Amino acid sequence: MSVNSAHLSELPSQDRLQRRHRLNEDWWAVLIGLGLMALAAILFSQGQSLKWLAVAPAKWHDISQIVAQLQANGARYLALFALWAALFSLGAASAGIPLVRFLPSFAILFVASVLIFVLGQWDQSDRYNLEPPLVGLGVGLVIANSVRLPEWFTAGLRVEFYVKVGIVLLGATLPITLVIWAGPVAILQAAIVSLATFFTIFVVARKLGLDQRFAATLGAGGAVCGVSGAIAIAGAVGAKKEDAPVAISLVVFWAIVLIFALPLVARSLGLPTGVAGAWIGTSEFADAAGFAAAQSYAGYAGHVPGVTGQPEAAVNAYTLMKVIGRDVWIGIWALVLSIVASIYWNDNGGVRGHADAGEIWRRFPKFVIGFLVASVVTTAFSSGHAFGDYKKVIEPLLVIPVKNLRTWSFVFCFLSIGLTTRFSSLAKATAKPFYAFTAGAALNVVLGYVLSTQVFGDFWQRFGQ
Amino acid sequence: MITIGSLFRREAMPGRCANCRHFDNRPSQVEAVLPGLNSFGSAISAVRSADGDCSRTGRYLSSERYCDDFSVRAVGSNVAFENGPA
Repeated sequence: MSVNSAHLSELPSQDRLQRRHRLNEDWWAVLIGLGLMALAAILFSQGQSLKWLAVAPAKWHDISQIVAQLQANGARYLALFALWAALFSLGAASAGIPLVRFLPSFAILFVASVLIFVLGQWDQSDRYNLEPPLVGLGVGLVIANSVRLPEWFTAGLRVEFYVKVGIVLLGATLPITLVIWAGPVAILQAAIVSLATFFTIFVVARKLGLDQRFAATLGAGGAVCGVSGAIAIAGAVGAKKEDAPVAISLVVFWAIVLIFALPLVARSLGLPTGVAGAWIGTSEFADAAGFAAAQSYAGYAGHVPGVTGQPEAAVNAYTLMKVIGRDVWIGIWALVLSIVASIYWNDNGGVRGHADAGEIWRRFPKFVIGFLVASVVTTAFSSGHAFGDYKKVIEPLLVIPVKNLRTWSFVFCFLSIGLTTRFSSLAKATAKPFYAFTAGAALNVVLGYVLSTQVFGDFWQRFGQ
Repeated sequence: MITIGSLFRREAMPGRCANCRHFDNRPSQVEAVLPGLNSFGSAISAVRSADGDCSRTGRYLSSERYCDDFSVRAVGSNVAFENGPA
């Protein structure tokens, strides 16, 4: 049964040779996001604009208005669909997803996204709290949990892929000067909450008798970046394979609860957009979930009495806190915990291994690079123009089309979250992991609120203005 | 005694999990052993690196690990991602 062949690991396997140059989803998100930005910039420099392609429904009051809008722009919507389908197909094909399954699924997702986007532009949507992210998510959840979706349809529901493309495009609307100014505060605040949450979950889990590797997997899910954090640490420490799904279930459960709860509580407290965004970024578990919550809160600005600040500030503060403050550190968490596991945690199932600093780069969320590059390029592009020119020329012809494309990508993501979350298919969590994770989640929310509103409250309020 | 320095040293080993027939890190297999992964995560993201499922030890682990039960894998099966492109 065993073949003890030293240095076998040095031999390149056929798979290794074939797949060495295959890009992962993060790099595809970078290529797609920066490619769209480059296209927008080239058109702009030639006196044209991407705005014809980056169509989005405008505000409407009665049905006849929106029907007329859609009819008048039918060709633009078709072109937009062709663009997205072509770009996402590249990433899907690279990941081995058959296009015969991906394309029909994405076509349905696109049509549903148009409907959600249209609903969000109804002038009465604020009155009925029909925020597009929450509606998309809610509709998706109802469908996924009431009917059995065909297997082929799930091929187009790539939550992470869509949110990563959206994040890269978000960089194009966030000046790098703002990232540099607010980044250190975001990192400090996120570090405090991440460490406190991780150790709370870990200690409670250990007190309840859970295995160290399971406790670390749960802790990373609550403290770093949700499902991605949980699976990264599960792999790094070599968790039992029945444990990682439990961590995923708990992250999904609390992330869904917080998508709805955080914007509603922040709204009832009348938090400014920057402050609410920072709180959501500190306390939500998953990137996509937090974007749904932050985007919803952005919709309240200027519409809901008491909610002050720029709408964009909710998403911008959220992004800095979650992406820069928490996500980018996952490789370091993985390396440190793999070392701790090797030295102190004995129950390794006979598995051994050496620590590898390359882990930090391998697990690094590469889409963050795209986000930062997009931010630098846009800032450089805008810096030579007076504010008046920026508002009159650059914003409508360059920034708003990119922003529209970003919104589309997020809508695909929000719908996909709901449609992929089938509660009955999640692993069942027993009481002990539930209590441990919930203790960390509770601390996360309370500490995130205190830091965002009290300790750094003035800073995030200024950020939002 | 295990030191941090010794943890980083590469020593001769039976063979990495990446080349073992018990190890499977194809995205489809990872999604199968981690239900709910696609809701807020992805089997093809950078943070997952080349981790996979070991049918021998019942662990979800890094492709860089090894154990005494290593059994060489037939070329063309099981391993979908190496660490290179991450």
